[in-house]
Amino acid sequence: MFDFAIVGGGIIGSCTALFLARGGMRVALLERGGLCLEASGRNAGTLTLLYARGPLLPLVLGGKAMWEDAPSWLGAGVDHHRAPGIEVAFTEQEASLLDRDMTLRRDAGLPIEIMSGKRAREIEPGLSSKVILAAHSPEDGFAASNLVGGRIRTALIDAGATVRDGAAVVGIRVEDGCFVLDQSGTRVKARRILLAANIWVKEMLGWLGAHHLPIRARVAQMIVTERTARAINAVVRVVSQISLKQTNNGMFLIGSGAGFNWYDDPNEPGGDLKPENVAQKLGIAVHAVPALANTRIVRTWHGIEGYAHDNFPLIGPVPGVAGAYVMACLRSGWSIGPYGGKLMAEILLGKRAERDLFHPAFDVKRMLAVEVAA
Amino acid sequence: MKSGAEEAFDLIVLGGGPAGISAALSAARHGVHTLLIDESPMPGGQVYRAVPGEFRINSPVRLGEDFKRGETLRRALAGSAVEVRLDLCVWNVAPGFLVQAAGPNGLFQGQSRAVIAATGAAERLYPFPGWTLPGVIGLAGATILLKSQQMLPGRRTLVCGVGPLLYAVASAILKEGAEVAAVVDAASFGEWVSCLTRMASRPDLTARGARWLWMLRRAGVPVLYRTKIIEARGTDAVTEAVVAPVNAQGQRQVGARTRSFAVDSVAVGHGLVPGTEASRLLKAKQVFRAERGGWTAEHDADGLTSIANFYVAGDGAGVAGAAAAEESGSLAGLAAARDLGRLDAQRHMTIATAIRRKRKRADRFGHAMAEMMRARPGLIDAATTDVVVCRCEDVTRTTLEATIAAGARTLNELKSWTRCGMGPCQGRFCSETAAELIAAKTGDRAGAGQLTARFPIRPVAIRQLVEGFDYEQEVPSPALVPM
Amino acid sequence: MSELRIRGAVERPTIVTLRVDGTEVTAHAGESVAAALLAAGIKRLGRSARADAPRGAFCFMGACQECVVRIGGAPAQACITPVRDGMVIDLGRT
Repeated sequence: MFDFAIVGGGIIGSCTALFLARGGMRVALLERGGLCLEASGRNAGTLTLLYARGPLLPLVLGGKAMWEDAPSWLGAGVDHHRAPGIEVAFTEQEASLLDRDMTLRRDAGLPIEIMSGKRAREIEPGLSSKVILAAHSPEDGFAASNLVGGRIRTALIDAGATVRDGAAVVGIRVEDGCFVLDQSGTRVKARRILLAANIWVKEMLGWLGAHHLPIRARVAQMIVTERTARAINAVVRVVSQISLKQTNNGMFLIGSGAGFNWYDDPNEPGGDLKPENVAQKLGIAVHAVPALANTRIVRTWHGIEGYAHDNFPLIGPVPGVAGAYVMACLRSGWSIGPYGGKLMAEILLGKRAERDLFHPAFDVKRMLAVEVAA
Repeated sequence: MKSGAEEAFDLIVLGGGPAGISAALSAARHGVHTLLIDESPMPGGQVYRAVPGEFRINSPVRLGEDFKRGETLRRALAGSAVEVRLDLCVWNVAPGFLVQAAGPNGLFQGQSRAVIAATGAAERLYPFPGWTLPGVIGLAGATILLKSQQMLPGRRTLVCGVGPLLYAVASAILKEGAEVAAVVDAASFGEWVSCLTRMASRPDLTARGARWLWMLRRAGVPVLYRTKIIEARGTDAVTEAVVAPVNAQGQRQVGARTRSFAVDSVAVGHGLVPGTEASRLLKAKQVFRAERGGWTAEHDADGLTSIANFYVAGDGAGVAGAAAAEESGSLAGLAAARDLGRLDAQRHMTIATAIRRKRKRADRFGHAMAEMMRARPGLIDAATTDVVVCRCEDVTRTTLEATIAAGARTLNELKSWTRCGMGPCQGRFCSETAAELIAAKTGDRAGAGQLTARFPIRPVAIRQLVEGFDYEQEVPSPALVPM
Repeated sequence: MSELRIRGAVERPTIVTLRVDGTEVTAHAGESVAAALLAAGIKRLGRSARADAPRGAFCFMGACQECVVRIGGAPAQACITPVRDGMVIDLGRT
């Protein structure tokens, strides 16, 4: 019998398991594949204040700080680099959106400056002259999210957690006041559970009585180039379109969540992964950083992101099921991961008030009344 | 993304080596509208490489038997109805089928009802200290230099590894008046003798091998069996190679004396591995067959995979050599013709049966050679801890083993957690070693799996992909959603 | 410089001139950049990603990407790029 079973070995589940184990709990982390190999290991590793929104903002700030000092909690670094963040607009429409959103963030106290394209190019000379408006966040950065999996697995085992990877959880039921999880034929029993499996929590919540919640999946497209001469130092975002950065050894990493279709079945998103979509993202990237035209792409891949109907995450208790919690479908989920996991663990250990993390906007109850389009 | 108008074919053959050429000829003979694509300026693949068109050939005979066979195949192709596009590197194959390629003249996009992947095999190379030094090249690379570029890899070369290429390369170097420091073969002479009966099906090739050996002997070149290279030394390029005796598994013999050679080049190769990029991208079912070099698409006797109208042929379907490649290509072309409705089942059976018989004979020799080129993971003990396994990303053996100890059990896990396989070569030169390191821990080589296939199969210039891109036209205005 | 070009079977009728890191190198039409550089004694074509170690052409068939150089400012694999008269080649990618 475990004190806690966590379903989903991405950054949220892994970090929560880590801090619970360090807090003395008997924890099992159940993951159908490998740790931090899905969205958590495929994203661009951007740590920025330019994207944070509303109640997620303090979580992003906390997570960002922890990534900046990964050795202190993970036991190893993940190639973290500080870099200015610059979001750019090319059209009037993009500029209006940028102006509105960044003004809100700046007024909320974030160190963000809105500036002309000319001024943005003084900060980042690699930017194209077509930028008409930009926002600058001087204290951004990025890290290599793919490196986390192996390191956190070691940290989990060192902390006494039980890692059960390589098998999917195919059923969860309540029995005699505890939870019985069916991990592909093996029974795992736990007093309490946390569902941290991104879009896949939709099915799991159904097993626990919260059926057909309005949760959808969407792909995010990633592209990486070969090494090329230093062209930018900043992490550049184009309003609503792509992010791009040049890593330490000169490869460009381009990411995009824009312009893709919604899916209900996250296991079959293949339709969007087309070269034309890649070409469009590259066109935008070259538009922003002209030097990119002089290099080659080496690899493309995708990750799957989960979205609730209102874009806010699911964080908190599973309605009507004592001892069951969920933390999934976060925006900026990777940035938030270590801090979110730490807060969740502290709440579950009884060391922190629920309100520090369980914001009303994240309450799963809000989703129960929502009509799901057929 | 601008390419020429999308072109339509009945069949696209990927790869213009013996298998691809034979497949295309075979299909076209039965009225299949066929396109052959190859990344080189001339068809021929690895073994039948042409010399550049700008060279003038004085003496075709001096270019050898392989050149002659290549010319025959090239002439047959030129005289056929097959459409041939060269200098085109395929970077995507999608279901349906869509084939996308890039070359110096721009992008290519083709639709076809059937595809035959005849993309050959890649070289397997286990690391050793100094293997990344300039001047250390693959055996297949040395072959390309010698045959196609008419160039020696160096004035004094150490030729090492496994398989018949050792002797082909060494004798080609000697023939042109340069030195071979030694031939270092991890196999024993006894292994070669054992495959003599199977080699008897090709007395011409067996005789050629004997000539090579005799040439080496006459020139006084040491031929060291059960020996491997354990270090290449030099600062900016290789200047010295160190070799050591090994046991039947390829592991260093404890206490045995090493030998050193002054060299200016090392040609090394540890066998061949079937190329599976296209079949993995199409998600054809894969099967691990050690005796054929490793993973290939699962296929029937004619090369039909788990995907309708998609076939594999040649070494990419399992290492079996050039002669078998021609027959296997013919069978795939015939099967495509049948499945496209150009050849009735009865007639197909008659023609195919005869070719299958020929192929069986060719296979005897080919499989004997494949056996000599099988994976010998014991050779990996030459890669001491700080040796780079992933050349692209400088990932060392130490890092890989530590990550395997941390729980990585598949190539994809190992790749994600260490970056091994994330560089521009996309795992082509590290995944064999990485898989063996996993297998050393798990006992399960096949369980290490394969790296996930993605496009582009090879790097593509961004300039070509964004040509004609118009920001205002192609980028939708963002919606002003409440934040 | 010792000769690596094999004479006898072929003639190389056309001489071309390359500029490699500012230095003139002669080659022959039809040769790949990698082969031409090898013949000129230039083996180090770049440096590795993290250890900054010397690297050169390795597979000679367009697979390993170790021979990438800049030709006219754009990345090109030396082993599959034929030489052209007046080519300006920069070694080392970054």
